[in-house]
Amino acid sequence: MKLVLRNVVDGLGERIEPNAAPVDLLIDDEAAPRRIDAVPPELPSLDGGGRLALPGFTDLYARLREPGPSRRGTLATECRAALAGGFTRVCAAPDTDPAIDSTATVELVLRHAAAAEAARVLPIAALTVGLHGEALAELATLQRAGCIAAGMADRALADTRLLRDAMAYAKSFDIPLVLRARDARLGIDGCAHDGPVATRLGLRAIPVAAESIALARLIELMHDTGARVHVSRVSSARAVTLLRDARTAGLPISADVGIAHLHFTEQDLDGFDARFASAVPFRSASDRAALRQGVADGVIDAICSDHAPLDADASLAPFPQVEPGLSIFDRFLPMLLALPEIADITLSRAVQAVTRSAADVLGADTPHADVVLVAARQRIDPGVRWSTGANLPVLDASSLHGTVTHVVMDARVVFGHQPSR
Amino acid sequence: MSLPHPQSGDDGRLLHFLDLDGLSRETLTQILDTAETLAPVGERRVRTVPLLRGRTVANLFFENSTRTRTAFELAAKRLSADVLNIDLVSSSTAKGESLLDTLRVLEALQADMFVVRHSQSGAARFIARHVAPSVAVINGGDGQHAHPTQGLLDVFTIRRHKPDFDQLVVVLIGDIVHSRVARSDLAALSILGAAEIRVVGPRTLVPADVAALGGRFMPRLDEALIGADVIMGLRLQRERMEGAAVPSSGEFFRHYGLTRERLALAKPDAIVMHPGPTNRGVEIAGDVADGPQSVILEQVTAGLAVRMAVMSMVLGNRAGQA
Repeated sequence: MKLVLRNVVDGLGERIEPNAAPVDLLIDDEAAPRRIDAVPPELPSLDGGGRLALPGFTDLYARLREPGPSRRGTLATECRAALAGGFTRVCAAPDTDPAIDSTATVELVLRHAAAAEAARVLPIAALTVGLHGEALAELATLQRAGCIAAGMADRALADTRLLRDAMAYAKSFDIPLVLRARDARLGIDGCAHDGPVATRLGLRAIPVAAESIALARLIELMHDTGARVHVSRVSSARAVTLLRDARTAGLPISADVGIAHLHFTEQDLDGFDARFASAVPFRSASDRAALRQGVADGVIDAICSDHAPLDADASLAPFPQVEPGLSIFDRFLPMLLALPEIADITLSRAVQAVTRSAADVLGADTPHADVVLVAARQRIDPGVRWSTGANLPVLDASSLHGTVTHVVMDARVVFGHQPSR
Repeated sequence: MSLPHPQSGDDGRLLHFLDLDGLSRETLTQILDTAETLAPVGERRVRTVPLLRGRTVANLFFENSTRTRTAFELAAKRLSADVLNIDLVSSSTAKGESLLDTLRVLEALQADMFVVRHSQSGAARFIARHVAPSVAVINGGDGQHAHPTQGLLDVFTIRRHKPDFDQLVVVLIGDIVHSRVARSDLAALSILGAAEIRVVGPRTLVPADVAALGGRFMPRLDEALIGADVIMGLRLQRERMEGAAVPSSGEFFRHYGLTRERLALAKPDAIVMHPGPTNRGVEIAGDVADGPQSVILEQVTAGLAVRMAVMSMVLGNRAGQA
């Protein structure tokens, strides 16, 4: 397949100049995209209207909710929503119901994802059976069935011996581990960062040490086993420091952060605002500053969505009892494009964190015929919803800009207006 | 972007009473003054006033509490309201019915006011945000967050003995982390401009950022008591005395228990307070709890007047509304 994108700003390279002059790009599923001077009349082409062409995004962590109760979303709805957020590949969290711990579930996920004809789904296998943290799942079999990595979702793994075995076993088959750093006891009943807001509101708190202790344990076991670990969704300045030190020591460690954690802090949930209930807590302003710095200098490789669609009923309870999570896909692109304005993160680095850096974490190539066309300065229409999730992040919609107008996968337009011949 | 506090209307009048956040010194003083005018009702032969005649107050207790429920019930009856006591601990919410569904059913009983006690922090605000506009919500204690009528009755009691808050040195002892009473006491004392609020306890029971609550941490009780006007003990729950937050109740008493010897370090006219029920020999020695400086039973009586004031003011503020 080949497709010509006419009149687009070329954002496919390392340095993105959003004000550069538009060019014509040939997208080819067998070769890297290249600029062309003349549009071959026999090829399908699309007028990009001067919009920015970016590589298709790779999401390292999203909950697509299937199998599970469909009121929270299905692969059909969430894969479509992923496209509208700019993602052509999504790593699916294993905490579905049932968990992704058998080939039957992997096959179901892949079949329904293919039927959706939207973003590609890369399932993350449950590291342990049922995510119960007691026995290893059949990781090599799950890898063969199509799982890209293995992890424990938001669960802590208490048993250090089992974790060490899991890391050694995963290394044998070169299975990347996507693990959240979370202690099994400390802060386990908490619902907010251990700081002044939780203290005032009387909320059970999650100390920073609940993350840093678990991360230090992972790092020690990496020294011990030689396994590769991707740390999923870090939240604190201490974690960034530990990651930086581990990288300096030469460990094969990588990390990501949820986009919302580059925007929000503990202050946002003041007044028991359940719209900011998050499994990974929003911490202090200095933690957020360290996360932003970590993204800027690459200690944090990637930015993920941490998408968690919920139905409206899930947040109708007192704060400690609401289901945590934010439905991010419908706001991901404007939240990403806002980073150069709110933090010392360039547009090039922000895009790299959801494209090449995210692919590197998985040891995967960036699909070169996946392209997203973005109207970078267009205000968002808050009424347009693709995800089933009712729990959108609370942002000032009038200041948000950036809309995905087209998504190209394998040189075919899969989202937006069709090309002309 | 942030959620508005459901407590106050556009004109600043109290429509619910959920916590002390954002309340002014004037508002608090007004409530305390109203409570003073209502306190003599309890001394009379006919102990009722018709302020809430024809109104229905429903006590919704999602968590056990005999003392607080009784105090609210009696306060409502002294205002001539009809009172419904609804025990929800063992009822439908325990069987999986959602909190909101329970509220809808109770709204249909046409109560004017819900007094709510719930085990989760933020439950009172949640209920106030979702209840029918015709219903006022009074927080009778939500999780570890707030117990605002307790905070008020404590400053009401203090004011009767020591009216100059800007001269006042107050010492809070014990479990701050898990205590909604401590949070509301700290809030009320801060709003009224108490000169110094010292907070004493082991670090397992005092939040690292207690300054966010307006308190100043002091590790040693003996030092904290010097120059104190008011000494407030706090209840230590039994489950925290058994090796987790505190090694034993005996060790707690040795280091943080209020004894006669320690009380002598405070000002001679210092008053001793406790929200009750007291654990004698844990937080406080029996002879101090019963001694001449103790105002613990006065606090209980003050609770009636303060709750009458809050209930009548909140429903009064709503009387003008459609």
